[in-house]
Amino acid sequence: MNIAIASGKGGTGKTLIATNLAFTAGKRFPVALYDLDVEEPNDHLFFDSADTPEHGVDKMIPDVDPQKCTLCGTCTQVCEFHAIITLPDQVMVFPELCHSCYSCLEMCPEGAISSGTKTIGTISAEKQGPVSLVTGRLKITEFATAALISETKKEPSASNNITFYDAPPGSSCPFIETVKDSDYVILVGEPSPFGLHDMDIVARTLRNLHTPYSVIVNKDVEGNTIIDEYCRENNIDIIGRLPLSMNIAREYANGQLIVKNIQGMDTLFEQLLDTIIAKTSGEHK
Amino acid sequence: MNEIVIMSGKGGTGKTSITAALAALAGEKAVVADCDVDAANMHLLLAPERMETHDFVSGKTAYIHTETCTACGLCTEKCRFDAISFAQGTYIVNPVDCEGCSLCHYICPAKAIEMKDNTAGQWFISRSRFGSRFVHAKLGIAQENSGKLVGKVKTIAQSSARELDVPYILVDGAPGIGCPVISSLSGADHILIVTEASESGLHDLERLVELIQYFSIQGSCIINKCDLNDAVKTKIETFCNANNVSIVNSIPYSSVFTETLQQGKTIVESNDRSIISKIEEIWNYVQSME
Repeated sequence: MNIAIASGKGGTGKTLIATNLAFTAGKRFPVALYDLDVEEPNDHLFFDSADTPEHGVDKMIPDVDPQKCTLCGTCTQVCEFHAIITLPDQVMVFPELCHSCYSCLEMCPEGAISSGTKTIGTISAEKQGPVSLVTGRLKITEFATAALISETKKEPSASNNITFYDAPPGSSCPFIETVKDSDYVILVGEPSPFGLHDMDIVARTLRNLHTPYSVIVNKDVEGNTIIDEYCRENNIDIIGRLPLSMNIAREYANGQLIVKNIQGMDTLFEQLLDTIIAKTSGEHK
Repeated sequence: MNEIVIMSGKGGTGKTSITAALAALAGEKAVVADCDVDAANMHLLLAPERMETHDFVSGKTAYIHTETCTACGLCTEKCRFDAISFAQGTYIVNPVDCEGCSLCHYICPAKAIEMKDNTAGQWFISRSRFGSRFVHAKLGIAQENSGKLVGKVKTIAQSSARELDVPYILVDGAPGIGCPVISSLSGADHILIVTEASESGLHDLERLVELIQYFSIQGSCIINKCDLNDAVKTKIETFCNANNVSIVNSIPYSSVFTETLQQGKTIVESNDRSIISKIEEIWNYVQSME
């Protein structure tokens, strides 16, 4: 059972909910938390993460053998991403633009292209008590966010039944890569015009993908009902609420789990977890 | 012409609120661009009057003509994105997984696969309520290619600024450090980073600064919610000093950000004199840049 925590807008509390939820679940059974916000992964800041060994993740890039290449230009013609250019005297590869589709390799009439590699990031996997924390980390200056997310999801972890995905912000390729094999998505809604606007985009995307989802309202303020109204109109369940609180913001800023440090939060997350387990039983893709 | 890109690494630090407030102060002196195209929301504060709407055609999706397909299965075997599956006697493409690379189109022995252009979104040229030209976009639902759409918005903003002879381009960038962010860096003269005094804010700032240094673009930093954690604030200051990133201003946590947003206003249209003067200081800093 893969459960993604997403929001559209950044800073609504995805990481806050994901880390505290994983810790709470870990008190009951072995659980995995995958930090798929690989451009800016932060989940590790909330655990006693030591120097965890990482392994590199490579993507395939074309390796052109100049002895065999006749500069015919086929590779350049078939590449949709302008990642391989035929010059008068050589073929030049732009690794950042390459989508690793193998078209040039397959289509080269001389068999001059073989598969080379380029590092796009790293993955680390660590045990935090009962929580297996897997972190993807995009190499700075790399574009291949979605490819790294795809690889990070494949990293094995010790989870009994629930795997949480901390999703990247936005609604584009990285978000879609994260949720496309999620069984269930929890949207963290922030009751502000920006929060609602962006949550609406990801909610539409999830409906398009036929993925079931519900909403947790974060930074909830009495009297502000814009998320509630939206959910009512669109028939979306609200499964929990966290108040707007300076205390929560301060603990988060300090890299601390609120279920450990703020009274009452452990019960709130226990209830949230019960609701999620009840909701998701039977939701397998 | 000076192009300032406002970025944050971490989301939710107040980047868009601050960009919109700078746009309010700049008035007709700036062209404003929203390059956070997959969660574009600055229009909520700029109340733009739309002048032009354009389709954004980018990328392709494979389509299998089943009447021509001989069901040999080569496409499924060769596709690196697992986008073609066999169901109920026919091969079908899952558009969400299709990368648009055209490999299947080229290798299909029956020539049964066509590559169709995607309309991945729309882009707009508008006039903001502050009188400025505003270039923005909307990515289609479940569409990709946000980096290319960012590139489009930037190009149009740059040509608008030249055409109108406007001294500034203010660009609201995407969070993160990936494709849309790198795309919004091209042509930038200066990066204004909005971070917050949290461990996550610091961590994400460090990665963003490394990125802009790689591209040799000068950056400076605004610490928003600076009173969340004094120790982290000090760490941010130390990091910025060590990396030649000047700190333009620090803004304490304030409910004015949310309150004004709910009214569709920018923070400089609030009654909070101290916030207004901080944004004015930031705008003066932008204007003092060479």
